[in-house]
Amino acid sequence: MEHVLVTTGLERTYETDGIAVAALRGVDLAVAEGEFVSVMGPSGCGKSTLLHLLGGLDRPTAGEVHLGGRRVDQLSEAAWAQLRRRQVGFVFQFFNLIANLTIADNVELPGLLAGLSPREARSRRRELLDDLGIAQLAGSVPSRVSGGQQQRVAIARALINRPAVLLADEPTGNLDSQSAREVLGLMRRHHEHGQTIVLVTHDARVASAADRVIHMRDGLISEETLLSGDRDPGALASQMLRLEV
Amino acid sequence: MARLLVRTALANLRSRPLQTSLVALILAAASATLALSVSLRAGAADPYEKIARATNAADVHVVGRGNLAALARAPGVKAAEGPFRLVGVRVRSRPSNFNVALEGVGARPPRIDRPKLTDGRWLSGAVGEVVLDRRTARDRGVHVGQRLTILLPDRRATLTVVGIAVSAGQDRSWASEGTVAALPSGDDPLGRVLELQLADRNASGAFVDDVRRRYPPDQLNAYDWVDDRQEVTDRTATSSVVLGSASLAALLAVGFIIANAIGGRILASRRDIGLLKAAGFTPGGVTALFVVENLVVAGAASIVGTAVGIALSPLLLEPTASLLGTGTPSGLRAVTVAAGVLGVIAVVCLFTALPAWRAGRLGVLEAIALGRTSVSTKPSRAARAAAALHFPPAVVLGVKDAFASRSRAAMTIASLALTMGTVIMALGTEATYRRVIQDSSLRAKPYELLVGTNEVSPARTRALLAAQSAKVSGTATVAGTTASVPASPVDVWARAVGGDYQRRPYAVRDGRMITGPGEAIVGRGLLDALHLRVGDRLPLEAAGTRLDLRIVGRYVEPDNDGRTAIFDRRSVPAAALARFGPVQYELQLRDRSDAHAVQAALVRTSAGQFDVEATEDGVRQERSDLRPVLYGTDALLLAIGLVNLLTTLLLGIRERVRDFAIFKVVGLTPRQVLASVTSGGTLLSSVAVVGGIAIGLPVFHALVTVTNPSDGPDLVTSPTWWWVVLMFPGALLFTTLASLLPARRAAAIKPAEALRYE
Amino acid sequence: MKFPILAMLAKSPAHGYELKRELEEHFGAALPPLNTGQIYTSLARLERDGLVDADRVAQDSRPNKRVYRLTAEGQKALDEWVTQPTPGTRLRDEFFMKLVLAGRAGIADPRVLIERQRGEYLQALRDLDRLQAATNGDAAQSLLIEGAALHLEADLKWLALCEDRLTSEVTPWSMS
Repeated sequence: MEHVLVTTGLERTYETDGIAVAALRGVDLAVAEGEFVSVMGPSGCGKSTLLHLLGGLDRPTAGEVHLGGRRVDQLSEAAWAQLRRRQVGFVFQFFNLIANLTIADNVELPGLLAGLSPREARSRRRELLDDLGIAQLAGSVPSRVSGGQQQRVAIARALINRPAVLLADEPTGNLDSQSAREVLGLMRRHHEHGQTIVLVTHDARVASAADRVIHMRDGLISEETLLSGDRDPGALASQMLRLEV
Repeated sequence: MARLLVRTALANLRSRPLQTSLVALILAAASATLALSVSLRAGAADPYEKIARATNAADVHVVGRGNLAALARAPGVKAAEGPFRLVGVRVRSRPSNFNVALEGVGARPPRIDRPKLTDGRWLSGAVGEVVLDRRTARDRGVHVGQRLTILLPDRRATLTVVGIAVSAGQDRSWASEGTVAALPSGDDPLGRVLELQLADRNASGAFVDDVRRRYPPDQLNAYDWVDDRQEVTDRTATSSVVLGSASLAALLAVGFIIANAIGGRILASRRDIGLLKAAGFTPGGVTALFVVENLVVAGAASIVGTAVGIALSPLLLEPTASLLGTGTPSGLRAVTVAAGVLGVIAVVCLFTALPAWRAGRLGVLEAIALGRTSVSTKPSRAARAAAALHFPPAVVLGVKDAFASRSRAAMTIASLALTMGTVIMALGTEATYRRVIQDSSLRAKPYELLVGTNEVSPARTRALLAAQSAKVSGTATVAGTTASVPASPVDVWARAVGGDYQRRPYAVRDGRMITGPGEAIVGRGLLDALHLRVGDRLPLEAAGTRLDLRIVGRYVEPDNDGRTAIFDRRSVPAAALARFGPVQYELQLRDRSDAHAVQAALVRTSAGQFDVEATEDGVRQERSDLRPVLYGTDALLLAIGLVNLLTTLLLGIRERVRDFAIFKVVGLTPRQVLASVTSGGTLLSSVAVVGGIAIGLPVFHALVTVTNPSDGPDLVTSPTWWWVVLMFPGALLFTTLASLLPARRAAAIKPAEALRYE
Repeated sequence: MKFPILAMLAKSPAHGYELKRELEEHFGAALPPLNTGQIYTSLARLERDGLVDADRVAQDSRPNKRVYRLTAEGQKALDEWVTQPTPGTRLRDEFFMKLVLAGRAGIADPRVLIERQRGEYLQALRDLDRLQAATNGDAAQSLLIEGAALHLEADLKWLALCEDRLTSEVTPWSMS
């Protein structure tokens, strides 16, 4: 199977006030096409740093990152920006929509940057917003729209260029449980249509939606759990209530 | 509470060093400009009064060979000094020799019309020393210590310049009585001069009339302080206008710029205000905090700026002073300091307290929410336009951002437009000067050279002039005198012209040029003062004769506020004409650029006995005197405007760090981020340029017309169109400079860091 | 099953088979497979303790049905049970014992134990998710699933805590 994302020996050390802090200390990861991987771990374990490195928002101090078969860790900022347009979609905890653009403009922006004609961008945007159930918000601005809706817009923005991989950093962290469930459901749906997803979270419910849960600790991967989606629920059901005789 | 305020304020300032230093820079520059403007306005205002006060000016000067002593005791005279011997000497010089009127004074300077030394020292009583009048010294480039060669009929003599001084009276230099007596031009060649101060200054006109009535003009002549003032004002009309308007524009620009800088900071801090209130500050406390913060910066900056302004003011004031014939006033005056320091502080307080108070009244949550999304959320029309024109997305984003905060955009455009307006005014001034230089008739001098002489006979003069006929296309003669109009207090400067005056006419704007005797062209001032129109008769009394003239045209005349009349000399009986002033010859050249060559030739062939003046020199001198002031003020305003734009852009970027980070995440390259910042700034500047031109041109025209009613409307010229067009690339350059730092900052934002926290 | 039966009898007297049917009706698939024998055993105990009483009801051509009903004491016991809150402190005792004892005895690496348990919980969460999707809007079922999921989340947090303590302090299961 094709691996969309591969990292080998990925390290990232920060220098602050002369003190070196190692956020990542050698991470080897391979994400297959169409795989849904979640990354869990206590705060400070390096999971967000890993995500940033995967998306080119940061440069590793050592190690390699391969995206779509091509080595990308040494690319310039400009080259990464162009790569990101087509290959990477980002979703963040705090939505990060541009405040003075409408919802429609927010979603279309990466499309226009990637070279879509305004008409194409518009039609894709309509499709996505429809799909996500927020077509009626196209003309509003982010500040007038609820958190759950904003995150859906962010997802639409991330997916407009049909990227090779969707990177999500605590996408439900700022949502109430209902919206969180909805957003997770959306991501799951897109995964079912073949989207590769890498998702960082501290919420176990969210993490368990993935095929593979990677657990990180102190800048290293400490364990991996493969989850099966096929187990018969009936067996579990009968274990729910325990009635002692 | 006060200590807490101060500590918090200082902490806030320290936490944003770049912003604080930029605002401090703007405020310091604003103070400097204010101080300079106040100095300039003070320096340009009523130059005559200044010098009159400083020198204890005389109210009436009486000159002649008659019985001056008797007049010293005339009724109405409060004080008298003199009579002093008055001698005219000819000094050898290039390009042509010049005359100096020497007043023989004692070892101590006279009390009335006391000359004010600007350089060197007063006479020591030794023979051969001279204190030169400042205007001559400047025009001829004479310094203290220089030796002047006096041309006497039988020999040469030397005078050493020991000092340079100004006086309220007409150009006059001073030497000791011994020196003057030793000059062998005969006894009393110009006569003597008596300086009088009257009990009632305003009675000087009547006094002068009385003297003129009682004594024949070749015995005694009198003129008063009003004439002196007229001359000073005449000399300085244009420059006063320019100085006045430049300083006014500077003052306005400074106000806007301060408002923008301070107001912008307040806008950017709305979120902080919310947080402060959440932490327990009262609305009054919030306002106080911001006022204290800005006052600390304003206080320090304004003191430094005012000091700089005062230190710089001599540089700008010196040429002005020469121009205005006044001594260089010191920049250090209470008013200047007050303006620079208190003015800026007051403006800062106002522009801080108001928005801070309004912001302080916002509810806590409102403020935080507003602060977070402090940008306008309505789609921008400019951005739509840019998108429709298929500009790249980065540019569209930049355009949007420029107008994101409407109030800040408006303030920035306003202050930039003002700056651009002053540039347009400077261009207009240059254009006007260029036109006047090219067309000397606009100065009522439709000729290239003016030749006068006391020593050469008319016949020989004509011969010498004829010798230059290869280069001369026409020669006219002019003789002038003061004339009056019966039953009117108006004094008219009358000029009788002859020769080729038709060949190069004066700048007649209404009616036509005179064609023969009995006709006159007059200046606008005369028409206004006498309520006459072109076509009316003009009853003039000149040199004791009544002249009957008909006004056939109005021409441009800066002298005497336009109260002038020009007529054919044949309109005057010969006897009266002889009482007019000496005849001067106006030479019109075939090729204007020959002026200095012909001037040199004439001086040479006349063995230095000709006084030859090139008309363009005077204007060029004036223009070059003005240029430092004009360009200095403009450069200062441009610099402030640059820093202003820089600060606005920086503030905008600081507010929107997250947005830029998101742009990068979504795929904008660093260069595209740069482009978006620069395009936003460019749009602001372009709008400002258009606004500046739209405002600056009419204001410039209005200013010149209003302050110079006699010839302003005729002189004022707009800059040529390609200069105006050049302002756009100029604005582009301006913006690029201002955007460099902010754009680089924006492009360097690291998304990983910026998006880490909320 | 003691108190559930008392609660059902409080509604109306019933015999064993009816009680079984009622349980199945209320709890459906969430119920472990029951056989009637367990019910009768519980009923017998309750009768012995004086909390229920049996009445014999005659039936033709069948052994007599025994219809049970609450006694006054039974009612009192039931009221107490209803009004008293159920004790909250409950841990997965089995895993806890495993972690402490196996670690002490040196027969298993505590870290591996924790990892394995975590994987189990994650998979359980995943399965619960599928179950939730298949409930067809049964409100009781839905609540139950949600309750279980939340417990699992809490357990996962506790596991993370155990893991933390593993590396820092002296633990009950330190190996030496």
